[in-house]
Amino acid sequence: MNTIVDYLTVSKEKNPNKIAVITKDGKYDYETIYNSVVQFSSSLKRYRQNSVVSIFFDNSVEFVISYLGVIRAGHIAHVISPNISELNLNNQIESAKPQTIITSRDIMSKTKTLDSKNVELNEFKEFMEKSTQNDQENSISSEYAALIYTSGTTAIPKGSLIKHSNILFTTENIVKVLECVSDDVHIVPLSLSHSFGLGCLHTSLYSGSTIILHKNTINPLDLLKSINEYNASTLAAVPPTLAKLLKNFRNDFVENCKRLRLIITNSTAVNEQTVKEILRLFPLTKFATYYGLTEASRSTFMIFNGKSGKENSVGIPAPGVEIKVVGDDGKEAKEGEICIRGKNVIERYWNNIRDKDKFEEGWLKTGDVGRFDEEGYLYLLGRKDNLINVGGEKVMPDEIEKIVKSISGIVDAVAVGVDDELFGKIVKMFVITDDPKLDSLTIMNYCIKNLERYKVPTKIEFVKNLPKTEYGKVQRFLLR
Amino acid sequence: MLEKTSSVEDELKKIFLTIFPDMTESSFDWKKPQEHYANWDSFAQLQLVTAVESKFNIMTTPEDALSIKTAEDLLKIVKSRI
Repeated sequence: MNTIVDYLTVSKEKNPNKIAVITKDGKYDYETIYNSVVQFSSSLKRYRQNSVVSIFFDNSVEFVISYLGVIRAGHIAHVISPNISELNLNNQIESAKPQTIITSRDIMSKTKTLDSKNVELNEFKEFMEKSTQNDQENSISSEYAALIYTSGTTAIPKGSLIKHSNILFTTENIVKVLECVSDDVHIVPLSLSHSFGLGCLHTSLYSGSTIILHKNTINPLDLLKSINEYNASTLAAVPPTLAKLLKNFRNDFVENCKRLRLIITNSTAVNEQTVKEILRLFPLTKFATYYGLTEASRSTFMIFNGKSGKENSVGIPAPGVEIKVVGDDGKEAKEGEICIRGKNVIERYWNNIRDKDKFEEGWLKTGDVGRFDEEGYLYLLGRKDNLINVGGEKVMPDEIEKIVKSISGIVDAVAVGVDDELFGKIVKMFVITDDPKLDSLTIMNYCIKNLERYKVPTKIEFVKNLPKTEYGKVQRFLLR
Repeated sequence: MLEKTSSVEDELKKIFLTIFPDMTESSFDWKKPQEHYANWDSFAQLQLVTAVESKFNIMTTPEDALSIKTAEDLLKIVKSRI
């Protein structure tokens, strides 16, 4: 087995009529998906081996066919988020220089600003019609499977070049740790253009199970309905989705999901209260999270059941993955930058951008700050880039944000460092509130009671929105 | 005018009670010197100055900040700017 397409082939041979993918548009069995992938890939063989082919879709069967078709044809699938900004799309295309962009009719309009660039645009259905159906011959695989840009939270977009071996290693780990089987029916309300969603697709293909794709912008009631309708066994959802289900649809959530064997979320600040609530409401369900980056997918796993007191942890390193925490002096420390080594870690970035900063002797320097507890469980403390140096005192914005967000009436809060003549940097807080009576003195007073003096935000600005990436991460550099 | 002055004093007192939460309304003293406060360090100084700037929509200078040794000193600066 060399690529994820090999697993599709095996699943098709074992169980051709089994449903592989369900979307709002239909159900597609393994044989249909396989044949479509073969047909799609035949049209890509006119491009030289190892070409980049951009795929630009919302969650759909077209995404699945195009992604696997590109890989089968021996090319690199550049996966573009359907929510990408115009500027970011232009930057990515400029950087990736794809042979073609394959997209769907409903997303095609987003590519209009690319006309001036020398890039071939293809609509999925028309592209399929041009393909021959009888090409059963596999291409020689590229070493690389996918190119995913991790743009947005910093000013420079970086393309993570993901090898087939990265995908297979990570997928085997997911299957092993989360005990995935062919009988699973996975509900995935996550964008396939993101590592979390794409990993779910890989897992489903690997184990020959069924994946139900919901669009990224979810309707919670539709989601819950499909869990019940298809007798789903797993739900993969980001923490805000789980929090929303708990807050606004609690009874429906419990009723529809109590038979799930697994709920998996990811590491972007899964709230301690959410963990406790889910464990309490779903005593028969395994609840898990992981820590990973596009550059090092699923580096840890955390299964919360029976791990009281570790609700804030992202777990222990995945099998075969090494993690160390390094201080400013480059030596292992109690608290510091998280570094990862293993077959899940990419070898380099596209065009080798930032390789020197990010890789050292096989270790990926993540830029995340963390610590291990005495039992080897990892805790995330924040981003190294976001660290604010207030007169020599190091301040993690996450800690301040957590405190401010616990004030009643605060909808969202982001802390950044801004220049100050005396201290070098001071903490400035951007706050969204739904309580018109809440003032900055109240916030400051609460912070003074709950934080060290140097961590207290000196400046507080009330805003209506915060700049975020298409994946919902705050673009702090725009606030500094 | 009297009402405005009184309001400034009340607001400034509120700022002091916010930044020094261990202090009670009855123990607040306009003339109490900086060294008699438990937590009046350089961070508290900065927080006092930025809080009054924001509250009264005024600008202060680094010299102003250095000259503040009591609540009364800050009150004088505020009154001279509004």
